[in-house]
Amino acid sequence: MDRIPILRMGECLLVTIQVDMHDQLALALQDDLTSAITKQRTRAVLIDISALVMVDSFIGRMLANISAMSKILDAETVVVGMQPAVAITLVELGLQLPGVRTALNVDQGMKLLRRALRAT
Amino acid sequence: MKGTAPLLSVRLENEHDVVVARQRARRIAELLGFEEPDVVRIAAAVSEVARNAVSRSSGGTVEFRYASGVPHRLRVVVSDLARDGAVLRQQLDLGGAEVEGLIGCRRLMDHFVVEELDGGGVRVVFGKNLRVGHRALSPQALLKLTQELALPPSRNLVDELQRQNHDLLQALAETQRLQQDLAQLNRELQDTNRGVVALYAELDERADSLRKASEAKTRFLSNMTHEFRSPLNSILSLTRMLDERMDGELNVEQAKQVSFIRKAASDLSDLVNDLLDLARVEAGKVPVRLSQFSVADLLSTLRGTTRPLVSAQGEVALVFDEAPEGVVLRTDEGKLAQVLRNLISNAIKFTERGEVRVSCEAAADGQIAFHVSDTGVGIAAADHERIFEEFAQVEHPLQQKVKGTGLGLPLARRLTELLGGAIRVESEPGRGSEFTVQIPMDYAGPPDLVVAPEMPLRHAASPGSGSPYLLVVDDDEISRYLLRSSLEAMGFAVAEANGAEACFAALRRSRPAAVLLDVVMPGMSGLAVLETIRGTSALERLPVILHTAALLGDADRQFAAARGAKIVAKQFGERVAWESDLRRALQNAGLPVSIPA
Repeated sequence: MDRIPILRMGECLLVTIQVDMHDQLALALQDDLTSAITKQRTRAVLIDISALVMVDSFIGRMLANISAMSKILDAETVVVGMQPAVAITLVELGLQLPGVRTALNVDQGMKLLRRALRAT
Repeated sequence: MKGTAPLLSVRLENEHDVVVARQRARRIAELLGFEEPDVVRIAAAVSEVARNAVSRSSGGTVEFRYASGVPHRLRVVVSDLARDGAVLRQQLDLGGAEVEGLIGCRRLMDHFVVEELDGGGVRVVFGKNLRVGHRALSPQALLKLTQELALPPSRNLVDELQRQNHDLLQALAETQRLQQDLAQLNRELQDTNRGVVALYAELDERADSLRKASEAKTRFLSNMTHEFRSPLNSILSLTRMLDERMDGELNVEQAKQVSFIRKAASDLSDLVNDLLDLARVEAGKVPVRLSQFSVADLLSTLRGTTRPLVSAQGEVALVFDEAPEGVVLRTDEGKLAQVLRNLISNAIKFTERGEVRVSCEAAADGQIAFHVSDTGVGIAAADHERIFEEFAQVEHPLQQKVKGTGLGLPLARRLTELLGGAIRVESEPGRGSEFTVQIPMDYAGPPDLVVAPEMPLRHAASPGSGSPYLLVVDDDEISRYLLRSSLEAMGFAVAEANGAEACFAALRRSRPAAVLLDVVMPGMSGLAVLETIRGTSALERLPVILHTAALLGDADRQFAAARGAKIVAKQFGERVAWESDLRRALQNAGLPVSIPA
């Protein structure tokens, strides 16, 4: 079965979503990422969705879930690279993505994560 | 135009189909001209509704339609087989986590309706308006759009990569197979090539052995002929001397016998000469002696020499047509005459009654054609080529009666070819034959020798000086005898030696004015004697004339020329030519030659 790859970069886990995910794939990513956080004892997760051309409520919820789970596992999550049209759609769909930190791009996202790590 | 046009329909069975549906929705929206935010909205809405259908029911379909109107819009119809339409509508009214996506979808779209179907199932119809002022799609544009959509969607990047990978692997496999095929083909070609090379080598070998066989035949012929010619020449010369009463009177019977001997020897000599000529032409050793002469002269000479062939009281007439006036040829007169003589004598032989006609005409391209036609037995078409083969004679009653060597026509053909021409025959049995010889008027090949006009001969040595003495070296007594009588007639004193030993002994005793040296001698050959003479310092400049009946090869000729030796062919039978050659050779050696009275 297909998997979204999860890469470790320093203290950070990096997830780049390059394909249009079906629901099972999104759920698999959720599982993989939580177990990676516990196994590798990382405290920061960066999810790059710049290649996603559409986010519907299911994927939006999945992103929110990942953020929430990471938080419980004492890891900070930043979603970066959301396209404007995707953002508009998310808002119009009524998804607020509570607890999900976002940044414009990977650089900004990394800065945000570092700051958060220093703060604790 | 008002109405809806179907664009595409996607079956929904599992969540993968949801992905396909939203990707198709995105593509359709793009193609219809929606702007990017709307494209994403439509894709998201289709994703929501399709997921809802898949999760509530075992399957369904998504239909995309283009509705023209004011404004034009994209209409999407998602049908499923669930029977909970009423519940769904209630949920939508009340709101809740399960229908969160559908509610959001309602917000994204301009138009959203949930319908229950009569036969069971739920239909969600929603749509998005195109910007006002958007031009309606023409039927052609719609057709193009549907065709584009009919192409299989690339499901996702990984699939696409896998597919491309697969294609690549297949292409690689194909390439490899092609390469193997090529290698195989190459191997086969190499094998074939080797075969061809081997075949060529074999052919070369065959050709080589054939050439060798042919050379051996020619060598054999020339050697044999030489062996025949020497004694024949001797017989001819001696019978001539007897016949001319040079050494006393003969009685009538003796004269008759001698003339018979002479006739027989002469016939045999003709045969041998023909053979030798053939061998020479084959060996490529016949020089073309160029001279200028008029055709009329040639034909009148021929008339003279061939008249005796026709018996006076016979029923065959030999007719020479008027020769064209003023036509001058530059070729080998002797060889041309020989060819024509052969043809004429042949024609006479095979004609019992009627006539033999000789004619001549200038042909195109600087060629001249001689015709010899007869009213004789004729030749079957099948034999037209065979008669030019050596010793080939066609079966015919008349053939039994006439005697021939079977060499006349082959020799005629060879000589004609030597002169750059061709000989051909037209004949039918019982109707007679016509032979045509066509040669260039001006011989174009490399002339071996241009015969200089006869030089006035110098007179004998001045009175008072003793006659120069010549040494004749020959193992054959008759040759020595004939040579001596001719040389003495030219005013020379002659000493004889019967071989190499005697020659050296004579040279030790005194230095002659010149040496006439036979080539083929038992023990030491003339060439070896020549080498020895040149190796002796006192004799380095002694004139040596090789006097031989043998056909010398190129190597031997070069060997002789390098050592300053002249070559004179031993041909007592043609006394005039031979004596003239001999005289010239002696003069070139600086010896005074007197003209015999």
